[in-house]
Order: sequence, then C-alpha cells, then structure tokens
Amino acid sequence: MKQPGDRLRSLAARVCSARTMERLIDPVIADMQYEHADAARRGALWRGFWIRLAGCSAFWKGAAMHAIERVKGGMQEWLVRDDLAIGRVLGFIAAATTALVVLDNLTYALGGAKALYEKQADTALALLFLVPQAFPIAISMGVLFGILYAMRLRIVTTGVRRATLAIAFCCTLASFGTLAWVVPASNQAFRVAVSGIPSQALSKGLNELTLRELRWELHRLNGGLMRGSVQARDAAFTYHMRFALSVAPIVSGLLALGLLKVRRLQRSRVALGAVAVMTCVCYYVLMYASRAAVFDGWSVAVVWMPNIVFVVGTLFLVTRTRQASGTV
Amino acid sequence: MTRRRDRLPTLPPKEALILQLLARDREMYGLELVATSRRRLKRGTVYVTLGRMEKKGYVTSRLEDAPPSAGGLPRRIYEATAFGKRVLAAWDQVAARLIRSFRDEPA
Repeated sequence: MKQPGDRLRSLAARVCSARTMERLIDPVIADMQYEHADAARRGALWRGFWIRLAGCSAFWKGAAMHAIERVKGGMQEWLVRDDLAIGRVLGFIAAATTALVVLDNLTYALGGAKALYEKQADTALALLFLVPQAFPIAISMGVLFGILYAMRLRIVTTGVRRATLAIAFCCTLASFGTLAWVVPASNQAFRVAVSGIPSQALSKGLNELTLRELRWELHRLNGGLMRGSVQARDAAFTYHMRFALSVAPIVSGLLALGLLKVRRLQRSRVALGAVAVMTCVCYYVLMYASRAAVFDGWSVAVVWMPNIVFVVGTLFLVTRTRQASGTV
Repeated sequence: MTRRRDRLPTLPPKEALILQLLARDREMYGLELVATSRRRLKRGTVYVTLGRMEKKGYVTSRLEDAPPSAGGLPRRIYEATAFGKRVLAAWDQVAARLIRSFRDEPA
C-alpha cells in the first residue's frame, strides 16, 4: 500500500547519499507517515491532508537547508585541503582574472556608455567588443594574485609548483592567442559598431592588425623611406609587445612562487595584496618606460625589459631566501 | 601543511534548545522536539540541526524498535550524549557569568 511521502522518498533516493537518506529524508518521511496514520485512525481527513502538506513543505525545506550546508562545507574544505591545491590555484586565478576584466570594462562602460548612447551605437554590443583587450593584462595579474592567495601559508610541494607553472604556461598561450587574433578583431568590430562604417571601408590602426598583418606593415615601413620613423618604431613596439605581454603570465607565476618563499609576507592578506598591486604597477611603469625608450631610438629588444627585470628579481628573491634558511 | 586551529565546541541557540529538551526528557522523536519547543524548532529543519549535532557528538540516535502497526518507515529517536550535556552545562555557566558581568558593569 502506498504511504504518503513514498514518491518524495524515491525522488530523494536518486540524488542523496545513503547517510543523507538515513539521517534527514527518512526521519521527515517517517514523521509524516506516523502522523498521517494516526489521523487516519481517528478519521480526521482534513488533518491528514494538512499533515501531507506540512510534511512535503518540511521535506523541501530540509533538503534545501542541507544542500546549502553541503555547499558551504564543500567550499570550506576546498579552501583548506592541501590535496585540492591545484584546483584552488585554478579557481583563484579564474576569479581574479574575471574580477579584473569586469573592473577594467566597468571603467570603460561608465566613461564611454553615455557617448556611445548619444551616437546611437549599439552600446551593449560595442562595450562587449572591449572585453578581449582587458584579458591579457587581467590574466597576468590574475595569475599573480591567484597563486599568492591560493597557496598563502601552505607548503608548496614540487608537484604543486610544476602544476602551477603549467597553469601559468597555459595562461600564456591563451594570452598570446588573444593578443594575436582576438584583440585585433574585437577592436575593429568595436570601431565598426561605433562608427557605423563597414569594416572594409574602415582602415585599421596598429591595434587592429593581426600579427601577420603587423609584420607586413613593419616590413613595409622599414623597407622604404619610413625606416626609423615614429610610425615604424610604433609598429615595432606594438608587434614585439604582443609577444612580451603574452609571456607576462608565466613571469607572474614565477614571481608568485618566489614571493611564497617569504613566509613573513604571507601572514597578512593585506600586505600580500599590497605587494601584488605594487608589482603590477611596477610592471606597467616599466612597460611604458620601454615604450618611451623605443620611441627615443633604443633597440626594440627593450620591450622585454619588464619580464627580464621580474625574472631577475625572482631569482634574487629565491637565492636570498635559500641563503637565509641555510644560515638558520 | 594545513593550517588548523583547535576549535571551541560551539552551541548555537537551536542546538542549545534541543540539548535542554533532551537533557530533561531523555529520549525524543524529532516531531516531539518540535512540539515541545513550542514551535521554536521547525519540522523541516530540525533533522538538519540534529544531523549536525550528531556529527559534533552532542546527540546520538537510533531507529525505534517496534515497526509501526500501520506500516511506514521506522522513526528515529534522539538522545543527548554525556559530551553534549557537558557542553550545555559549560555554555550555561559562561552565559550566566557574562550576564552577571554586564549587569555589574558601571554605566
């Protein structure tokens, strides 16, 4: 004979563990069945109907509360367990990169949305085209913040170090693909959306050229009378900067692993964040300094200066911490 | 190495209420706890709280011995453990001292 709550129980049995069934679902159903049987014995039909209703409500409330507790507990475990370190690094990098992309595009949206709206451009679509250009910068900062906060106050084993560097390398590949092909296309799409001029009629600037097109442009400028001109240097800087900026995630990854050796720094989340922010600011100052240097006539190889400075800084940090631990 | 701190046994208000009721009456079903608590405990969520308390070691439970005559699932009976009673007593003492110190605090 079918009892009240049998269908709910069979539904729960498909998704819940044996323990959850035993400690949560079965007690709720058992109570409903006991009360319903008691009401049926006394001939109280309306009471029996109310008991079914209250029992179903209790079932769903209990299931929802249990689900929330499981998610909360799962998150706490994910933040704490050492064997989930790689997943935590990936999660933190993804969260930091997303936050930075949103922040970067929010500033554009706040500043440019009114102007775009007045031009009667498709504002939402136009702003969406600006998202890819934030990605290479955001991902290199995201790798730094992500690794620092995911591995703060943990022992970084060789396996975790290798996996972290592999993740940083994948971020480098993603950054390169974005800079080489996606950013030029999205920049051009943004200009088309804002101006209303078809793409074929809208001449591309340096930031709208793919790597291959930029290389042709560089050959064209260096082959003729424009050799050594401001336009030629600008094109050379833009071309080489795409490669240098692509490598920034792996440089950030190495630096983050180096900073993790400084235990004193990790005690305060705020101090760690401040160091990460200052590092990013230094990177961009060096990047703009290298741009100025190229325009001043220096060799285009100087665009690699920020990456080289940070790699050297990381080696210095690692050597110093090794020496310090060796003398203890 | 995972960072761990020794945790103080916590006793949220609903858990304290359940322990007070169980300490008084020895063994109770979940619905009995709801009825005796004058609706301070809810039917749907009392078993989640009891499950949490069982994990902490404050209560134990067992299925009722005799199967119900009208069929249906056997019900679960709950009892406070000695540890749960000690935690309740300790929290009651701390709460009483705090209340006294707040009352004695000069304005």
